[in-house]
Amino acid sequence: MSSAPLLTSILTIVAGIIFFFLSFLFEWVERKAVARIQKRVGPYFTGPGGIFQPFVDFLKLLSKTEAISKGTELLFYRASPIIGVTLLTYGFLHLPFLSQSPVLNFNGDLLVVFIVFAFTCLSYLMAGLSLRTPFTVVGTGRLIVQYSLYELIFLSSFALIFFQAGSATISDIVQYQMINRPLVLYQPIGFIVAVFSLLAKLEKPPFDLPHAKQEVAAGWMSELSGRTLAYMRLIGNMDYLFSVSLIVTLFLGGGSGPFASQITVLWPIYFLIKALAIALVLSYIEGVAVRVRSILLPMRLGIPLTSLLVVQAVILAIWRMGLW
Amino acid sequence: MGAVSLPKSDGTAVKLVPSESIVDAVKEIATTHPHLVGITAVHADSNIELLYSFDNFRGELRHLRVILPDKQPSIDSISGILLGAYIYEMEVRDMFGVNFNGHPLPNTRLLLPDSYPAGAPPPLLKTVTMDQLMKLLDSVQELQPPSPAIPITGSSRYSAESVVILPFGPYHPALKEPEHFALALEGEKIVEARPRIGYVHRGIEKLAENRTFLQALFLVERVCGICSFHHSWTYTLAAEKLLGITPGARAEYLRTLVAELERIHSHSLWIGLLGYWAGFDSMFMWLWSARERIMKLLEMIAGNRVNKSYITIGGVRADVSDEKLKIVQREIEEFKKEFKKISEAVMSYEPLWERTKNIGSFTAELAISAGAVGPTLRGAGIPYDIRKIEPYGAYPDLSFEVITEKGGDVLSISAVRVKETFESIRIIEQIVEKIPSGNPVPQTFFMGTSKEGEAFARTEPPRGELYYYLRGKVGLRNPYRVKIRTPTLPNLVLAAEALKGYTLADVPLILTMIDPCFSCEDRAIVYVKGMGPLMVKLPRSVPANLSLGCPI
Repeated sequence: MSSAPLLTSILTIVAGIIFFFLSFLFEWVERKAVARIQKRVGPYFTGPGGIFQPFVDFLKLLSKTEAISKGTELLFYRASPIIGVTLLTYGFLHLPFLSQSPVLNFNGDLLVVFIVFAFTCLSYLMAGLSLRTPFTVVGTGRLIVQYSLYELIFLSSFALIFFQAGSATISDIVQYQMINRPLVLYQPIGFIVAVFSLLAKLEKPPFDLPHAKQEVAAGWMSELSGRTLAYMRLIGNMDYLFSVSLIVTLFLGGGSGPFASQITVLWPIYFLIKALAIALVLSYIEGVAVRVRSILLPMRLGIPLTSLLVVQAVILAIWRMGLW
Repeated sequence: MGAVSLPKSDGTAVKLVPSESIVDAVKEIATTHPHLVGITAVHADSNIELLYSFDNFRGELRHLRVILPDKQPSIDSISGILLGAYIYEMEVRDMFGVNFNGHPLPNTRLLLPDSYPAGAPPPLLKTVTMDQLMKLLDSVQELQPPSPAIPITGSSRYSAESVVILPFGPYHPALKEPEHFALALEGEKIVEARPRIGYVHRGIEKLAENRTFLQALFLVERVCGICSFHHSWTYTLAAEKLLGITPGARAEYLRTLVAELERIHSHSLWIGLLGYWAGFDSMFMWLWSARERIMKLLEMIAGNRVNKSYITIGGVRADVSDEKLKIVQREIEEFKKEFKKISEAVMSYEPLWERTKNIGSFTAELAISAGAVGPTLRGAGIPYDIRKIEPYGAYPDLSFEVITEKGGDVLSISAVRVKETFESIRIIEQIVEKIPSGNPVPQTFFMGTSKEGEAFARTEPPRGELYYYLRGKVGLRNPYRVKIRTPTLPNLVLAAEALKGYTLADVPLILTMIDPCFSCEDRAIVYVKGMGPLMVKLPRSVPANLSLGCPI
């Protein structure tokens, strides 16, 4: 995108603010949807249908006294929210949310996604291990195992996208989908695998092992409080929005849709609708999931999803060869 | 003075055994009567009388009685024969100062805190007054600071790198009541579990000796928040036997009605919690919303959801009108539909099977040896249900099945509970149809004095056999001795044994498969094979007097 630096700066700020507030919206959608499945009302009081509840929760936590235990590694403890929030916002700027061209882009910027994934996980690790209590140690241990599993799956499924679209630049992949069809139609298995492994990435049921409250209290979050907890929760929300947007971008053609090329306002609206649809699917799985036994995690997450991706790769290869 | 024999109407045999030959006597009786119901101790006439009660799973009780002097009482331990006995013996040791020779856990406390002075008199002796006890409790923290708190690190058998000692409780989201388990983890696998109990002792047995028969009824009801009615009912049954009072037929039906509603609410609560422990929150929400219907019925009948205070000696405290019985009938039909839908959905749900099948496996032999009762024992295929083998209330007139399942794991126990809920619904439908007319409310509440004698009663609360023992002395307004043996105690011996070898993720499910009620039964320890039971010191943060007092 060859726009003036000033415009880029303004767009960066706008996109950053949108990212911040939208992440709370997605928490609300998730909470409301899961509550419906569980015969509850969910957030109710703050705003219409409790829509502001997640944001108010954030503000409330900010104002709470922060209890920092003796022996906490302050560098890790303080740095982890900064790393998480910054990297996720930076990553979001590479996604075509506002228009077809992302605010920031360069050739091969799909790799930014992996930096964001790695650093988000790193910020969790730093927060978890800043004080080594039994709960944080076991919780962080589970987090690392889970990360090593889903990272591989994401890497492989993005490799398939690269294989088909012929580019590792996000805007090129979107362009490819607009010219042809959304990638979900070519790679349905890859899409399902990516959505399912999102649950592991976001620590949602059935893969909420790193903070399974019945087993390890709050897991790696056990020692967090006050504003640090508020920011770690915010990172969780941003992570959610970022991951969902990524799926929309890579598999559902971003904000493309009828008349989107004529009326530019429609692009973010379509994008949001698609993202909300993914969020609802995730919420449904969360609602009916039973937590995986930790010992079975590789069998439930790693092996089946990886083999599904292999199947997808084989199908894709055959199809491409037939085409050539 | 010798032992007072139990009333003939109990159909029980009491054999007086000299203290030296208790092991042989138990060995002999255990071949035919392998279920140890409990060890009851009574301090009377400068003697400590121990009553060992055995059942053969058909309700033919046998009792062994041993008389010990109250100065330095000592007897051989029988825990080598029956695994579950060691926990009963520890209770007697704490409360009466009886020394059990050859006990796997010498010199450790079960109910009293470690800071309880060694020379201080045991609290349940008749020579110890409430004032003395209170003074002792006030000063106990200054006497001796509690030993170092858990977690115990650097356990010599493990290297510090490979094993994490994870504190599980006393305040932990998986435990609904305060209880501490120190779990030694190797990766995710449990290599050792050490619990410490005694956070919620309230000294109800001692308190009950200082209240009239009627007042004690309201006290024992507060032993448990879930099966509160069964506690008051069992106590009432024992008291009625002792005092020679017979309630009317309508009262028996109304008691059975409330008891079965209680079983439904307890079972649906537990099945909901099964989902919660497995990380399936929706199941928890669904079942608890269905259970609300039953709670409203209980409130309508008794005026209260939890501590119903509905029963009294000689009857119940209020009649239930026909209109209300109609509502019960209608609501129970609605509940049945709802429960059927939910339970069919969740019990056939593959991911839930994965979390429960072959988890916490135990054999029927182990369950018998530990003395397990209720759905836990029935989940291993033994049809032991007090309602059937020793019918009380209106149960003789009602038809129902004793549910058993093969397997002995979390899944089989869950299946037992689901099916029992349907049986309870069937019982309630029969009660509404068959209930006789008459006045269930006694003319006056019992305010009289006791007769000489002793009586016991057993009922089948949702968690399993509950045992009450009452001793009366002529002219006394209070019961001379009240002994309570709740179902969680023997079941926890089993659960602790079943824990080893499984992973941390299974701990909530295994610990709670027995539906533990720690407030009922605050006295558990784990028996580790080859090492004997292990105990952990009381954490410093807990006031010593919280865990003091009598059992319960």
